[in-house]
Amino acid sequence: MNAGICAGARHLHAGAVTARGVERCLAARRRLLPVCLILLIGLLLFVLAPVTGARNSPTDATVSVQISKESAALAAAEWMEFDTVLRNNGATATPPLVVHLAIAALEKGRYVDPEDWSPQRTQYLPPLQPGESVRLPWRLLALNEGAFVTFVTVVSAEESFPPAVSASLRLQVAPDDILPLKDVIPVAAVVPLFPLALLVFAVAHTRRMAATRTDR
Amino acid sequence: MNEEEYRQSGWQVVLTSELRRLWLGRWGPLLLLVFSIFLSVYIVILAADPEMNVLSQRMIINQTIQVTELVGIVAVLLLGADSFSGERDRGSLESLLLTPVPRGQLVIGKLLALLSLWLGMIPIAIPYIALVARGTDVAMASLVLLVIGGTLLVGLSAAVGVLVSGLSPTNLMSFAFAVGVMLLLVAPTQLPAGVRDSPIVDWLVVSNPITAVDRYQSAVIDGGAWTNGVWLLLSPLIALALAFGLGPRFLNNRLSLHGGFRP
Amino acid sequence: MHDVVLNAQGIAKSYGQIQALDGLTLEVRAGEILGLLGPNGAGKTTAIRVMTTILPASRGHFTVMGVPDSRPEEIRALIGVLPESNGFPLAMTGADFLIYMGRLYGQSATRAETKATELLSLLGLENARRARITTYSRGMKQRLMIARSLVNDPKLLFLDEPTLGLDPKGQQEMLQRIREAAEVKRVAVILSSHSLEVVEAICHRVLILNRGRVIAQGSVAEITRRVAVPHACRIQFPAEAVPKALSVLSAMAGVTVERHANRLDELIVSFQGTRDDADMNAVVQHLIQAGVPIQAFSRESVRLSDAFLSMIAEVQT
Repeated sequence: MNAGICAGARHLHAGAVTARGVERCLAARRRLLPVCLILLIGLLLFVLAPVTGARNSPTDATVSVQISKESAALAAAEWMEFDTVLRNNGATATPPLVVHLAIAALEKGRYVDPEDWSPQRTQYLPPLQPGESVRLPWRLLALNEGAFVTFVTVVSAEESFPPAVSASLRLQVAPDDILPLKDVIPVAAVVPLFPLALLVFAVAHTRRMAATRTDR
Repeated sequence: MNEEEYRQSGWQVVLTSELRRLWLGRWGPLLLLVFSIFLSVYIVILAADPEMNVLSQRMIINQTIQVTELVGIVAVLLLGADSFSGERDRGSLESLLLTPVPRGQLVIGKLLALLSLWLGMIPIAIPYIALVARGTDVAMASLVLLVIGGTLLVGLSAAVGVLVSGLSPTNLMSFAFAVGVMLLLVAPTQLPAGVRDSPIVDWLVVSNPITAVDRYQSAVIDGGAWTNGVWLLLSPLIALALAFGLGPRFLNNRLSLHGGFRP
Repeated sequence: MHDVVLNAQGIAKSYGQIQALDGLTLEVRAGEILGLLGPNGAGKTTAIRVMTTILPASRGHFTVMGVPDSRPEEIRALIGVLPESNGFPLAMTGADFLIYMGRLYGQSATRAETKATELLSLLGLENARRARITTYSRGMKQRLMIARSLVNDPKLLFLDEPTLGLDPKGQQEMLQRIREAAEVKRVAVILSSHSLEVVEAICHRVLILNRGRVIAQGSVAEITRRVAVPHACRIQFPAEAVPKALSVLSAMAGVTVERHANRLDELIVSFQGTRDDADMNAVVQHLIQAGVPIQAFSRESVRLSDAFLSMIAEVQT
């Protein structure tokens, strides 16, 4: 290609502008244009890639999150503990990380207040070095009965850091049976009978002790 | 009889009469009946409402103890507030003041009679607390806490009621003052969580007998050792000792026909 | 043995700026009944409450059987009081109430029960012993409170309106018992009443209070003698002679005639000035000379009520 341009240029440089020289020059430009376009596109991708590629593609994350359990069956009001392991799979250190526990109900209309489910839903980590991993414990209270899923996400204040998310931990929470009605009702019904008996005795005692009224 | 025998027998005579009035005069059994019905309704609601049933069992135990103590405190406080000012309003106090029994012994007799109401409430509360605490390792501890903590607080409440009643010119004023004092003591429990964490409020909570007992009970039920935080019982113990020790002496010179603070 | 049961010196009681009692000095002996008189607000109840240790005195001292007021519990063991406030623990029966009071005076259960039975019988309440006080009539409550004042066999009895709420027969019986307590058991009695007839009937001495101060103290006779009131006589005529008697007496100088309020055949003739038998003789002679028949004649003595009203009026002016 350079030779073609140069050849055309030599023809021009020789002072003689010939039709054949112009044709050769134009042909060289026509061959050059796609190459330039390709180079330009490549340059643009190179400049913009850190912004667009990380925002849109989790698979670009340099941190992986593994969760220690896949599922759990609990009773309501039961505590559960599990771990997550964060690992920096990238070649550079991560920025400071924010690791957050999320809980979602799988049934529509069932309310989940994360504050009630876990005392510590967010943990803050310093930068992870390449290849470094850290284990984070989590504690969770199964507050309501039903089907739930919990997972951990990793984000950073640095905009270029792609969020990472763990696999989900599925929870099936059964209703708790601390106070079954069949046990409560007998106690609730029987205990008041004792003070009632005492009251009846007191009334009977008072009437027994009372005299008839005299004429005034 | 000489004065020495009066010291031995005056408060006993008042106590016997007050016990008869309370237990054979229907007020005591009626209050126990209302108390047991209240606990029954409370526990049935707890069992039937799924939203409430998901509280941890220890939270339920703690709450049941607190509710029991609160009812005891209120009942004894109101009866105590009627003890002297009620007689003042009904015109029967003069007969009592005309006897040779020292005023302080009148106070002691009425105080101890009020405590009998709490002694009657404990066996009523036992089945309920045993029910909510079954299956845990704090069942016995719950009952012991109810007896210890409840007696401290109810005793204090009785003393406040009787003291205010002895000084108030009318029954209405007595009730108002007694309820006001107890509200002041209960107020720190209602502060927002963030405020409660401040050192000053923490000190207030610890020095307030009601909140101190509450905190101690919660700590033991949540699995703490008995000795862990037992110092929290200092403020209710001191308050009770002062109330029972100094209260009768204080009223000895001040219990009068028309009420008032001056000897 | 102290003959002087109560000795009070300069007792005063003030409520802020109000001087309810000022300078009360008195002495009551065993077996004596002292009447305490005065208009409403005179300080009678205050005086009784101070001397029964219910209220502390602002000034002054008193002793009961030699026991000083600095030992109020000992004094309360010696006295019985029918108080002004007539309240009871309403859930109690009459017997229970008296037994309770007896126990508070240090009696054993048996002694208290015996005493309660005796007092209920004495005061006509034996049939109501097991009835609740709420069912008692006003008179029955009054009698129960009197019983309460006697439960400890007191040496000094304070009775504030003892006949209040009692029927006439009950009042007579009550006065008789008070008299017996004083004369037979040598109990000293301080009796406060608005009924001057009651005080006149049984009190040996009278003390009149007004606005917290003693304005008169002495026997009934001494009190009445201190008052200059017109002396009078009462003359009974045959009914048909009354108009003529009226006309004859009206014509006399220095004489005031009025019809008796309840009797149509009697006229009350009053004389101005000091008592003088000659004036009365002159009236009788004048009637006889005028041919007016006289059926009965009696001299009207000065009543305590007259003396009392006169003294009160004097102080208020």
